[in-house]
Amino acid sequence: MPFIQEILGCKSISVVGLEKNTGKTECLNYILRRLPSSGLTVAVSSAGTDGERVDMVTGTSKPEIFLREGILFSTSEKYYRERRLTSEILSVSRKGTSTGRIVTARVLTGGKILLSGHPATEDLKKWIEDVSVSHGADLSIIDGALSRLSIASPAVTEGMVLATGAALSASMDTLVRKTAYTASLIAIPATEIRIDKRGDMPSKGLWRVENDGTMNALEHESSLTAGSILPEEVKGAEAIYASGAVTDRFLNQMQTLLVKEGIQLIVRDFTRIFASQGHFNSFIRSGGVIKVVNRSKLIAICANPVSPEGFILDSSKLCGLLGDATGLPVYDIMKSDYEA
Amino acid sequence: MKLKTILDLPCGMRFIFSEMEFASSFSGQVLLDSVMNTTPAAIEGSYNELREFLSLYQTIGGSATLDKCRAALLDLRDIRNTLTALESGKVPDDVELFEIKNLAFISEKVRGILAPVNLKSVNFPDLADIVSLLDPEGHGIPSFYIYDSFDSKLSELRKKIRNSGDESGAILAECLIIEARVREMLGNRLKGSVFGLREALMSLAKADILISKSILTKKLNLTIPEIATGINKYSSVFNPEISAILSRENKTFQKVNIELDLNKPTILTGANMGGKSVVLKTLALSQFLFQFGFGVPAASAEITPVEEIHYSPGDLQDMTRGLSSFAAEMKMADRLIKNSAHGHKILALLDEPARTTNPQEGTALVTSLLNILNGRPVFVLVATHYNVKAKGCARIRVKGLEEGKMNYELIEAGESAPPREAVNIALSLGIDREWLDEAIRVMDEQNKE
Repeated sequence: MPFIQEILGCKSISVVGLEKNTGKTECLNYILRRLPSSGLTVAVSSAGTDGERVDMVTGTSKPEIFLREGILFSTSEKYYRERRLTSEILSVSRKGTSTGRIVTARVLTGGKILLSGHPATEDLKKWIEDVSVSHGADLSIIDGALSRLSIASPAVTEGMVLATGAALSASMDTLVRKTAYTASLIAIPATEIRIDKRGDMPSKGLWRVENDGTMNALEHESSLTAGSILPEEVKGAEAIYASGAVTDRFLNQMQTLLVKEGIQLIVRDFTRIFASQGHFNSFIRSGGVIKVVNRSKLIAICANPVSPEGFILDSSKLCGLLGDATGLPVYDIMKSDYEA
Repeated sequence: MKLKTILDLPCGMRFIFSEMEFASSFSGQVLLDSVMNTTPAAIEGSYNELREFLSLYQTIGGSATLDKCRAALLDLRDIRNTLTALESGKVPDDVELFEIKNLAFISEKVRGILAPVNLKSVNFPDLADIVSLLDPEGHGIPSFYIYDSFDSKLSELRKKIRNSGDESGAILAECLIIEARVREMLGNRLKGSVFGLREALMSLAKADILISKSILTKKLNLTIPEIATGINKYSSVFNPEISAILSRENKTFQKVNIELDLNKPTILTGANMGGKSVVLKTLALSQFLFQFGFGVPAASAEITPVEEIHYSPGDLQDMTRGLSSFAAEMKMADRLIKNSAHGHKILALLDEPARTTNPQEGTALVTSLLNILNGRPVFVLVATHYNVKAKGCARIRVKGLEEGKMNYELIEAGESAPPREAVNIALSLGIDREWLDEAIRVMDEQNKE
């Protein structure tokens, strides 16, 4: 399994699903099964609440995550009580979530558990650091969500595995196109400007980034009110940093404002881009440059040909098309007959 | 009155609280929930505790000991709900048992660190039994699970799962039944120790608070005052918050001396920008600090405990209750009159009362208020621009402009009208000359009349 080798090269990875029921949990289980069982301490958590035993939306059953002996995990108190494994509590977070505080524990005898972790990006980042420093984790894995509802960005990890599948679209063409678009967003390069950010990037507003890396706030509350930005406000800037969502409308406004001045558009990470493929491509084709602050390396794509409604796509055709469209290794983890 | 209710009064308690470095945020919560001392004995008790920690903190070995305590206290959590649940007979779950074990570990650790210095103000119960109950295998780390050694069957079953898996989940189910039994046993045995656990929790918070107060005393240059009766006397008093702002700009705060008598109101007059409001703000803060057992910002001080502190910062608007600044001020003065009539010992600090109304009525209101309060068990300090002619009041004023520079010193003032310095100060601010010349001409005319 070549992508396991790539995962081992990272300190942290996230497994994100493009849509519910695309097989993210199976993908995570698959990776966990194949990681070496000795000499490597693995920690697992989730970005926010996830992992109901039965999917609340479609009613299909959702597999729990199987954790073997020695793995560290973090989940909320509610799910910790419902665990079906023996584990030793190492710490309990101060901050609570909707399902209680986050308990970090070590598995003593393997079994199944539902994961539910820190819902905010900053806390997730701190979790990766904590399990590594305090509990000696060599690799942290985050069960991430790619939806507008999720506040926590999986882009805090070094690497990323994308789960896609028939749940996203019944049409193979649409499925391939949508997946390739997301893969291209994940591949957006990190900005080469050394931003003088003093800690974390601002979480609000629009900012001018000067050529020496300093940042100055523009008098506009968010990217949603960017329509009133005047050309002289951005003149001479090296880049504009948008902390919020990049929508179609925002991208159109930036196209007229930034492209001919040669100003870069910087976003925190690819999850901030909500623009449709058409608008995004038009921005790029007109000469627009978009970069990110945090970039995760997309390691592989896992495709699930089975949709929750029951139809099944041709697995090898799907993997082939996805591979051609993205240039990345694609695996159908349901088949799981790859070489280890 | 709890500390948290005065946190957002404009006297600067929030600054003091934010300067405190608690090892555990729980200690901050306990401090905010603490109730103001009003008796000399209670205040003396608080200061004896602070003195004990402060003198330890000021020695090299002692401060190292307290640093070790702080490090141990970093993991202290508020588990009062867990203890209440345990007391009521609820079987604790693993997270709760982890919390209890953690508390017992911290308490035993801190007890050990502080044993050689033999402090009187904090008392830690012996929780060694709880530590050995929840750490049956003697690992000496605060992590927790239902250990194999709690029940001989557990290790056998778990070994089975480890070796040959548990496809049907039957062995795990068997484990869970035993684990539940163990938890019940632990709950029953811990129930009797709730008192000791609670005592440990509150003592740890108290130690954290006293260490933080000691550090704060050094950091802000605070002093433990004398407890007085009938007098409030400060020498070289300063406002810690303004002082900190000034020192960032490489400026120094001019410290002042002030004395207030019970039963005899004091009128404070002086130029605009002469620091009258800062004096009132600082005295309000100092009285709160005194009654909550903190050091006060002065070189030395004698302070009388009071039951109520009425501080009206002048721009008192209670918009949430729909009161204008005048109405809010009147209500406050009304409370002051009524409560002092009942013999409540009060400190009242009023910044330009009735300043928003016309000067004639305003002067009458302030004069009559002082006439009424005269002789009552109240410390009153009123800052005003009005020419108040109340009898039997002490009068002080800000020394004022000297060669274009403000001297904030407080000096005794005579019965005469307050000096008219507003125009001079306006001049020093570079305000339009034509306007100020006209103002001087109008004043001259008034004087002729």
